[in-house]
Amino acid sequence: FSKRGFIVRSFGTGTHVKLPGPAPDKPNVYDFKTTYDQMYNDLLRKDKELYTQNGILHMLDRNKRIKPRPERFQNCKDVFDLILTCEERVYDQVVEDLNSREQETCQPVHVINVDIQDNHEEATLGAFLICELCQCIQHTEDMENEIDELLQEFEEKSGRTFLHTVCFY
Amino acid sequence: SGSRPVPAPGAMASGTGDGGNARLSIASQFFTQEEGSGTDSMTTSERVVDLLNQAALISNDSKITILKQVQELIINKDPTLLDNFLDEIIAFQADKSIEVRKFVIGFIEEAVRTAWLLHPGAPGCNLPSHCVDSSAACWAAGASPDRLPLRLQEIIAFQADKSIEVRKFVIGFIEEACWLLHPGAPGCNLPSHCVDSLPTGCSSWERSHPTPCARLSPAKGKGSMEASCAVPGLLASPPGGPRASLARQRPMFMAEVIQAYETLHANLPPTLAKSQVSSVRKNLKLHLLSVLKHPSSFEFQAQITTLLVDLGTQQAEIARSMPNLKEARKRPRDDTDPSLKKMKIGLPGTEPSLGEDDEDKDLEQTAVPPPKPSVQTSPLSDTDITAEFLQPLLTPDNVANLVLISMVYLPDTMPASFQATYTPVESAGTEAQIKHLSRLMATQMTAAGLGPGMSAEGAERPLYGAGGRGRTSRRWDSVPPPMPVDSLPPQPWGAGRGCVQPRVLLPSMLLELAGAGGRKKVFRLSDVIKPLTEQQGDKLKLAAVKRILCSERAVACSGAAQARVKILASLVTQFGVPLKSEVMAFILDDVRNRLDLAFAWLFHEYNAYLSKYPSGSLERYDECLLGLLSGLQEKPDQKDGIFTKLVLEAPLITESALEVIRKYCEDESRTALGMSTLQDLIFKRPSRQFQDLHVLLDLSSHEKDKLFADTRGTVRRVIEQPVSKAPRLGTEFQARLWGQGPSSCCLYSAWGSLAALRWGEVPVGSNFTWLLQLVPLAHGILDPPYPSFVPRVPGPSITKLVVVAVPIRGMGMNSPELLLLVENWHKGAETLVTRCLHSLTDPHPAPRPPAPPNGPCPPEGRWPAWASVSRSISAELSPQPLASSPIIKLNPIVVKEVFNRLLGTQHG
Repeated sequence: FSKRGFIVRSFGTGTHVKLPGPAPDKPNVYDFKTTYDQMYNDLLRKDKELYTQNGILHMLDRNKRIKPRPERFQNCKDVFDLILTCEERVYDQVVEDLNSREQETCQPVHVINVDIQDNHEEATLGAFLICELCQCIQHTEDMENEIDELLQEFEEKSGRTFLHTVCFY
Repeated sequence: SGSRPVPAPGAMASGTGDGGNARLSIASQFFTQEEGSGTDSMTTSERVVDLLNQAALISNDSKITILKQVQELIINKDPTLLDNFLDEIIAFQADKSIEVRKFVIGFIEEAVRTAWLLHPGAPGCNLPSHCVDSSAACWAAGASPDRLPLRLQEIIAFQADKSIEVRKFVIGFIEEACWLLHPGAPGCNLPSHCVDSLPTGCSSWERSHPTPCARLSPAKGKGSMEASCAVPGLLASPPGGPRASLARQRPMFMAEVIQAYETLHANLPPTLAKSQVSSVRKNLKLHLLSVLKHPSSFEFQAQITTLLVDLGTQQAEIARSMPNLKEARKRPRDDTDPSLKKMKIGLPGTEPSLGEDDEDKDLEQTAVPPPKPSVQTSPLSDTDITAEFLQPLLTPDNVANLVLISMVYLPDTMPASFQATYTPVESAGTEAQIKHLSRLMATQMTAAGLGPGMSAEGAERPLYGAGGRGRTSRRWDSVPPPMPVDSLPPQPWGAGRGCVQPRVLLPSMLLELAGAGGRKKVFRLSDVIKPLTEQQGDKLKLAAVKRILCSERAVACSGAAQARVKILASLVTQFGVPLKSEVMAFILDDVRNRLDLAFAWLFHEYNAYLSKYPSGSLERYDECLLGLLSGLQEKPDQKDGIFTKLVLEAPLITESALEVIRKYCEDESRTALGMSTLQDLIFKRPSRQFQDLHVLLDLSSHEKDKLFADTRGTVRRVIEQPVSKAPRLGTEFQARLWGQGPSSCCLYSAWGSLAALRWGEVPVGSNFTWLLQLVPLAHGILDPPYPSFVPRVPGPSITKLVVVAVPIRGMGMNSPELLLLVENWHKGAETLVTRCLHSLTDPHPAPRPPAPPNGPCPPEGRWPAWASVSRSISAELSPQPLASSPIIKLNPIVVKEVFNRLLGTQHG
């Protein structure tokens, strides 16, 4: 996204940062204060081979070059134009958080959910889809009036179903 | 104000009125006007007209300056002109410049403030819809504390605006108005942003006048609430949020809010697409959950829960959002005091008269929530009345009949909203379910303006304000279905077109609703298109070609490979540079399979050249051919003859292409293939045979041994071909070998000096033997220059002469070239000529040709030689003195011998 000229930030919405562990019921849990570097070293120490093989180390390595640590959406008071989520659960959390905030500027923010499975392949494909969506939104003359139609087109094109709402800051 | 002479901005370009004036600088114009106004005593109105005309004609930045002058004049100097010139200024909204458009918005805000100060509530002073675009303007328009209630309806009317933006802000405004007009429950303070955004006097006004505020509030608030509920707007999202927060902050509206959600849920427009339905339902669910969390929702839990279950919420999730029972139990106690306080506040409120009628008071008193509000105690809504009416009617028979009747009206396609809402119900047939069903039906009926609730409502509910409750309610209640529809993008889902309520989709209704307030945007093609920059164009072209290139396999499978090749060839021929390298690389990547594309491209380029013949340039064709040949040359292994095929089938071999072929031949690993290609080229392309031969002969004197040998083999083969195949080979060889000297490049590289460009001893020596071998095959080699170098051939004379004898004998006496040689010998070639004659007159004569018609009869067996010599002698004797003849100047012994031989007297 950054490479394509968008001003973009990424967030988590859970209470903790969870990374896959040796078993589905044993995730690695960190709090949001932990830096990517610390996570990286921790996983490196725990099982280098496993986390290299499943790509987590690679992902953390990339992440730490982008920003020092993960951020939590609920703790961020910055204003955005568009919020994209990749899971319905996260969408719910985001909308709930936005609705629970006291409205100050009444500046609208569009929240769009695109369901993307949490694996590397789907993430890659989804990234392209979302990026294309953003570019299309960017090029609309009147975003507020055209976004519905645009989402319809994208749904038909991608065969996915989107969720969309507008919240206000 | 109807006859103002200001041209519309659209007509600005053609206006000529002040053309001369427009050319002056702004400053000079200004001063001119200042003077003019002074001298001509121009009125402000005239001056504004003049300035507007100028602004219409100017297209640069100074337009703003002029418009600001207009603003000063209209707003500050003479505000009465505002009404006259508002339309003209608003017309500048269509200006191309963003700055001008910004100015117009600013102007409108200013104008609105001024207008409302001047004419509070003047009927003619309509609020332009742009004003609503900013909430500041909203407040400027309506929130002057005293006028807010009066203006509310007018602002709410903007809900019908076409622009979603405007509707959203109106909803925001309504919400803020509700905050302001309704006393909050304890702990439900006015959100800080509302206080901040209100005009300065407003919040303090509210605080200082709690009584009139509270007195006014319920009716007005309800009006606004209903308006906001009736307008789902942008898929219910914008109103949904405010409604939920209203319900939380002003629990007295809880019933209305929940009913609004019910209405929305039951009246989802059939035209919504699947994802829109799911988005709206999700929103509803989230808002309902947030309302459910609020302690005041305790009384409505059953309703909310049913709705949530309908929306597909899990029981566990609902349970999580339930307010704490302890809190709920405490709540009534907590609520008691403030409600009582309100009651107390409300009662003295009857004393100060604000001109409101008594019904309001009554309504207010009944509407103020009791300590423990409940559905039963609150006034029955339209829906409640209709629901109660419906509930006993929902017997199995009636329901079955309803279903059967509605079958007739079913649309062709199942609306997405139906699919989403249709879930098997566990509690089907139970009392609760029947009640729920009756509520849903009542909601829909109310929305459609039907049912006992509607008729009861009109009669019972009091009127208030300018609009009147009943009228407003009807207006909005009868409209709701269109609202979501007009919020939809115009697209052909068309699912609802066959629906029970066809008027919902009538476009005329939308237009009507949009009203005159909606600014019509004239469609102009020039506004929506702009030329691509050259770079963008190139990029697009390249991307298009790349896509076509990449589609090779898919296209091949679909059987359109030929079409693809043709398209590619046309594109690359037409657009040239940026695409060429791409296509070239693509071809060279797999030449064997993409040869058809290569040829298609070549022929397209050649066609392009021919179409402009003779003025056309071969440059592009040449570039293409060269690229292909060079690319092939660089390929490591070329045993499949693609190079040969390309060379032979190309429409034209250019000079530079020939150069590539030559280099190909010079490559030792490919000499054989190159030579055979060249040979084929010579025989199969007679039109440019000469150039090919030049290359061949150039190569024949190459310093590399292998090449040297191969080339000579080829030359020999070429010469051996029947004359019909190479008709002018002899002449060509002669011209090539003797006329121009050796190939510059070969010799230059061999000797490295310019001197070597002439026939020197070494090159002549190296070529001599070989050339002589060719003589019997191509007599033309023996043209006059030939003898000139013989004396310079290194080695003993006798050797040279012996060497010469063989080929001359091979030529035979019939060779006209030999006769020419004898006739035109040069100085220094006497020995050679003698030798020739010896050779010719050897004891093995060739067959005799027919005798010439006149002249002396030669001795038997010596006719051609005789003829030639006698001809040359007679030519030399007759015009010039015999002494000057070269033959006489020869050594007497030689002369004698010659004559003896010619005359057949061997020893005479």
